[in-house]
Amino acid sequence: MKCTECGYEAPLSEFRYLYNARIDGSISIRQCKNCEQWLAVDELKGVALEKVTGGAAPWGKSAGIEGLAEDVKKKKRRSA
Amino acid sequence: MAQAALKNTSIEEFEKKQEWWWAAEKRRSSRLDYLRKAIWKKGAIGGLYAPGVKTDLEQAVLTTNMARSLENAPDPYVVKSAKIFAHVLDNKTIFITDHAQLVGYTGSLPHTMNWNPSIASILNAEVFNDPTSIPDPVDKNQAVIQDIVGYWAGKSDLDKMMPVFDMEDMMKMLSGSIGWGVPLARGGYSNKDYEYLMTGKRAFQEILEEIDKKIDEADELVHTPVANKEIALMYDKLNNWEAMKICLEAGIRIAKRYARLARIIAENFEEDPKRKEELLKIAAACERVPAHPPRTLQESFQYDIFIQMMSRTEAIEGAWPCRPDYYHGPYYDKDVNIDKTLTPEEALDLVGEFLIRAAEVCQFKPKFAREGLQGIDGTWVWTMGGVDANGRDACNDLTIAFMQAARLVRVANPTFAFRWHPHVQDKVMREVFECIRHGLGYPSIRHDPILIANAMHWHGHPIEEARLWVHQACMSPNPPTKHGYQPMRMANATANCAKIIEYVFTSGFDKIVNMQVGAETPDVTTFKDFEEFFAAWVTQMKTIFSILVRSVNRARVLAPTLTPRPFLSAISERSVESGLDTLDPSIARGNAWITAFTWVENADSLAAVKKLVFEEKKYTMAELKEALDKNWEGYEEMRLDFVKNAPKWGNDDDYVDSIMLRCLDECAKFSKEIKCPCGNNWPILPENVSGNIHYANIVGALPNGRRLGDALYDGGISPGPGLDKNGPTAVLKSCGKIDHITQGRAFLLNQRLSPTQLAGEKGYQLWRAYMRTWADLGLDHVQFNMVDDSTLRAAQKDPEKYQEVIVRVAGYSAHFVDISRKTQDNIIQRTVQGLG
Amino acid sequence: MSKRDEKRQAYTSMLIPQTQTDLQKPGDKVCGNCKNFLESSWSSDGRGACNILKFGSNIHSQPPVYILEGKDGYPTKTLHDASACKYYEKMTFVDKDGYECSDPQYRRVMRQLQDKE
Repeated sequence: MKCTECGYEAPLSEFRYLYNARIDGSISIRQCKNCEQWLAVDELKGVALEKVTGGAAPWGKSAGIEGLAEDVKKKKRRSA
Repeated sequence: MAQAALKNTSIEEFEKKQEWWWAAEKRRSSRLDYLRKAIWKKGAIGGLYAPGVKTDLEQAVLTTNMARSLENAPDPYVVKSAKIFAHVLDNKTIFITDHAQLVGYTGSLPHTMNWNPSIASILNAEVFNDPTSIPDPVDKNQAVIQDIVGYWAGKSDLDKMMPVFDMEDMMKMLSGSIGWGVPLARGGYSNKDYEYLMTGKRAFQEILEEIDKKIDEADELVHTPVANKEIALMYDKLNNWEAMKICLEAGIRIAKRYARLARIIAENFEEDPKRKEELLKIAAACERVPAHPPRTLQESFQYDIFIQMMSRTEAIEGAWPCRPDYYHGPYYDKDVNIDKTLTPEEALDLVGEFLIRAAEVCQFKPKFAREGLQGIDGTWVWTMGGVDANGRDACNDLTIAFMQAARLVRVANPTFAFRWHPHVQDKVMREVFECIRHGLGYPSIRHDPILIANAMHWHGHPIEEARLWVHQACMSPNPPTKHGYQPMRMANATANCAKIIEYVFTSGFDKIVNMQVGAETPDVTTFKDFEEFFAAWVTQMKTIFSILVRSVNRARVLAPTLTPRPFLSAISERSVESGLDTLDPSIARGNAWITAFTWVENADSLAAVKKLVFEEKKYTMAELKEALDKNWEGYEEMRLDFVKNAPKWGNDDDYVDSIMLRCLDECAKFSKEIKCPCGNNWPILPENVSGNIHYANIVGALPNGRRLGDALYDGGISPGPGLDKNGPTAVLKSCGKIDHITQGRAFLLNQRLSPTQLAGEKGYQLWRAYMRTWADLGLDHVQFNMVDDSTLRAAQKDPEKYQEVIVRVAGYSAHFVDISRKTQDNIIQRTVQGLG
Repeated sequence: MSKRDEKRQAYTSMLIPQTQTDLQKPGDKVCGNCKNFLESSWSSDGRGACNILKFGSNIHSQPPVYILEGKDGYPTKTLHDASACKYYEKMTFVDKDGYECSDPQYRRVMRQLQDKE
């Protein structure tokens, strides 16, 4: 995998795994050992996507945020 | 915010933008504004103390010097402890903050954190190692710290306890894998016998007279012309009483020092007549309390602050159990409604300041506490509302005043927990809701009838005592009564429960700390069905819980002789009466519980294994074990399968919900097999504080889809962030399947609501309807975050502009900018529920 | 010797608290800056275990005793002198800001080991 910031290349496992903010998604945060930047990484593809900065959420918004998480019955009633 | 912009924007406009902190700044009095801004931020920020906050060496030096001078003194240990306590109070620096009406602080200066080196030598080493908090000049003070560390090496409470614990249990605990905390009488959190101390019947002077009477009676007994076991045991009691007296007398003396200081300032330095009068009122209050019972609201608050200050001089206190509206309420009523010596606004200033005094308290804490309680010093969860001993509504005008003051001063700590019952008036519920709507993250709501029944079920508290309960820490009820109150909850009965399921896969070997910690259950690949797998889970659960409970039990038995608490004993009726240390199990009913951190991962993981390995046979156990060994590295598709295609808790799905209930049944059964030294039960209590972050790098990969490093779920019985897909009622229904009386001590539930949806009267009615469902389903707890994503993301980007945003972490609230990025992301990922 | 006595002997060193001299500046090679050291998450006073050496090892004896088989790791401390240990591997410090949460694999909190770069 190649760091998007400094170009350092190494196997995925060499980039220090920090965490996955969204367990049901495959974007995690890893740290480049060379430049110490935090990177958003697609674990499925093994590719670094972008630098992770404060306020960024490359893994998407919280569940329910684009329309609140509603009771299932209410959703079904609406779509019926 | 630029002063002009602040001045030109109305309160209503700020509230419309949900910038509650600016609205609060405009609303509060100039005194409260000053005092609020004068607080030093004491909670650790992601684990390290804020710049400028320094460790106070004064108590450490005073304690060490006095201990040195007493080494050859012919005093029993408990009396020496009391003399050291008294020496600190007699000589510590005291100060009065400008514009304050209440005094008393544990440190010598407002920006300091007190450090008592006699409690745990591991803590002392941490003081030395801390990269930011050694006061200037650093080199000189490091040398002072080294000297203190050297003196207490081998002499601290922990050094005395460790050799007499079971070595193997101790090493497993010290690994930090299965729990945290220390089994010490002076390192945890103590409730108080408030029924003895704060009902206006007595204070320190009256207790001294009671003790003198006891001493005289005992003295007569030990000189009668006979010798027997009763007399042989009486000498220790005489020593305990002597130590209690030393502590109480020192407590009265330090209050008089504050009175003298207030008078000196008033008479010699203060020119403003109004402030002069206030200083003389402070002097009069400090001359009155704690020697005698309070007569006014100011004296009542002052009394409380002094007791807390003294308790925190004797020990490290990680919580603040109390019920301030109940015990201070009569004085509020007298001053504001009957005698009318205070206007409601003046009373509000006092209430707000009382919150501020509590917010500024700080003692240097060990690493696990700073990381598990990010942003705060300890969980000051103040119990509000509820019923009295006769079962009648105990909410009063002070309950409302506290809610209003909280919205004005906006401290994250203390945080409130409101005891809801069916007769709470609507006006009180509205005040509670307003606090939540203003983004404070508190009060949490507790189901009073459920928890009263719970206290009676698990610990046999009589109903009149159970009704008086206060939060011992964030969640667990404890009556503040003679035999009911818990003098020290030793936090190391706190289990990192995610290890239960992890150890099933590793036969109890912990790969993170390289040690056999759990039970040596059979190789997981040999299990033929889910029942064998579950049986191994039960074995690991029992093993982990037993290790933690054994050490606490041992400490409780040893505490009265090895680590006595003469001050706490002095304010406890059962100790004053019996002459025994307040930790003596023979005079207490016991109120133990096992905090179950990282709990829900078990149900979700068990469900995933049952479905994908045993039922659908999509994967073999060997494949799963290998994937977990590799931390899911190279197994991302499989990992997502385990996340998305196995039922998750919080969706009203009986598949996984029934597994949760089964786990709780096993724990409940075991809770009655393991006993405390008082002979009472050890129920579990699922909740987290920010233990889900602290343990993130200690718990390995699990079948629910997590990797080593990921934040664990946010706690209690809260569904995993984003994994509750069926709406808020489904969450409540899952949680409602649990019997909140018999299946555990209490169960924490975090929920996130939309501030936009819950605006206005409509929002309040939606929330009330939700709470009715919550109550009907018999849940014992719920707490809310009501801050939108855009604010939180903006706060991550520009923390300087969002210093006042508060979030509910788990059993406590914290300022968002004070918690680590991982914790922030974990909170933001919680599902935002739409009500109605 | 009973198994209980064996464990007690091995673990006794972990019970001894830090003294004044323990906190002084150590040599270059200590367990704390070795790649294989796992710091305890329970405290910042330097307790931990070795990921390579197992229980029963002793890097301070003459000659050092290396046990590589067995279950439990060798209990050691951050500032233990590792100059005689043949398995010592200096780790590269990445995290310098100290704000990340407890991480047995990555963080060292001993003041004396702070990276001065």
